Amino acid sequence: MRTFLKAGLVWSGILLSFACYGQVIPLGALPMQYNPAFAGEAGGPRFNFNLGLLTASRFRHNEYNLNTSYDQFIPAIRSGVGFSAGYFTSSFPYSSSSEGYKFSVAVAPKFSLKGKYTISPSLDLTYGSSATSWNPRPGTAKPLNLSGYHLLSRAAVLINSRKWYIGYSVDIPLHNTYQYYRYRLFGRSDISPERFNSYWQFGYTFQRSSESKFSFTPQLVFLTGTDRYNRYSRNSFRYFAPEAFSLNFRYGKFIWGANNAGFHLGMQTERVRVMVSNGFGRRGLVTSDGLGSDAYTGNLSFRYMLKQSRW
Amino acid sequence: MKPTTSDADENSPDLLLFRYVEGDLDAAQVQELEARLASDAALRDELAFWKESFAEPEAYDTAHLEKSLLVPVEPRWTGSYFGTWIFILTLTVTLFRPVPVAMETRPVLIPAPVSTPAVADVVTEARNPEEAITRSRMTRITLPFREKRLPETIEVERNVNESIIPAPIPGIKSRPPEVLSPVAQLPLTGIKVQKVKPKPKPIAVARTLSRRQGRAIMRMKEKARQQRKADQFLKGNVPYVVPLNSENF
Repeated sequence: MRTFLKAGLVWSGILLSFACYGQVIPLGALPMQYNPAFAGEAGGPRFNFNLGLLTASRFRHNEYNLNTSYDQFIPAIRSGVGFSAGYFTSSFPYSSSSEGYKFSVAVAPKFSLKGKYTISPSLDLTYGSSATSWNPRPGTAKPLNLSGYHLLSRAAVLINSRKWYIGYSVDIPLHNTYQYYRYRLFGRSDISPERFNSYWQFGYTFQRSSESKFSFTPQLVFLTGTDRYNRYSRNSFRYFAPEAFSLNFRYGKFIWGANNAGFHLGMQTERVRVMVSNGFGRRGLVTSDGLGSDAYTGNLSFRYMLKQSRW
Repeated sequence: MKPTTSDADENSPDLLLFRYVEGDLDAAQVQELEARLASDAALRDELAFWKESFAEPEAYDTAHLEKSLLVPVEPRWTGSYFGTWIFILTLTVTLFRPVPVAMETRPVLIPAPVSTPAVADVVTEARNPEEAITRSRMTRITLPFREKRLPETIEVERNVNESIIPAPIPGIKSRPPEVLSPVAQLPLTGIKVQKVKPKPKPIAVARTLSRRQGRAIMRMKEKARQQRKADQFLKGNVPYVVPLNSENF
């Protein structure tokens, strides 16, 4: 009976994910998404997978993303090593379409304090490729194709115990031909040389004891930095805004709550987690992205610990 | 002053006469002494003195002597002494009951009436005075003695099949018979009383904790649990990193 329930839950999540749309990745679905110091944090090998879809029927817009990550702790070098791979595609029929992929590798040495805390600095290197086909006047003009790659590094630090963590990471843009072209074309880039991105990430578990069935775990990511609107702007502005969040309730093996991709439901054990998230719009519950009230987001997240930690 | 045997010479006339009167001299000493007595008139006077001399025992009142000399032992009515007697008394009253007594004779010693000592009771200094006093004052008699013999078991006849009908308690309205449960309607006949072992009283009486105290105890237990894990970690029994709780994150 339990097997049927699990299979039904996974299948329902897959159907919901394909029926909905999503570009936003729920916080926690990919541990190294904002902070590469999470590599090897579990103590054992860990595999993560997230499938997201987003749709906005008003604009006949669809987006898909598929991300996986694998990380483990290597005792010989007392460091965690993580690998990530992702693919995404987006389409506005008759106007534009884009797709891209990226790979990243992270190394995070671990230093333990009194057997209760771990301090981990980390360095991440990401290579990505993107291609966009833009047609301002569909059917009348030749679409404009834009492609490029980017090389991005990220430095981070993470302090954690069994119940909480504090992380901070800074983006270090190394090379970005895609953004350069886009900067030339549109006058504004997501990652400009003047732009400074950093992420604060917090998490804490409210649980009476480590053996209690019920727990509440809020997590929050703040994006902070400076930017300029475009190349003509003289003054940069500072921003500090929530980027992602997760309010996770757990009783036994069942989890529920809300995250930046929507409301989520699933099951979670020490080794396995299966979670389905459903929300609204590109930015989930945080902000709207102008895709209309009928925009919908769905994510299926899966995590598996290959070797159980002895904690 | 009369000489004593301790400081007198072994061959002094006084000691010889004394021992002659007492009959302690051997035959050779007796012949030698009688030869001297025949020729010495002063020695014969001295012998007459020794023969007239005797030690008269005083008429001791033993009862008065015991009362004056022996210190009576005062009973200590404290602690275990008193408790022991109470226990014995209670045990005697509880377990035993008086039964018809059996008569028997048993020799006892009682003091005889005081009498003037006869000439034959006169003792000399060589005789033990205490023995002489006891022999002269005590008389062996027999008296009837009453002894209580209590039985080890008491047999009581009782019909176990008879029903016990409780009498109505005045002032309390008894319930009607139909209200009683079937178990309550069973006659109280032949019921064996089973001994129920009393439960030992808990050493620490459980008390109700407030929520704040409960949370504090929970935090202490959790802290100890995490400390044990940290100790295991430092011993190298767990991986080097301290992972987040994968059940929650």
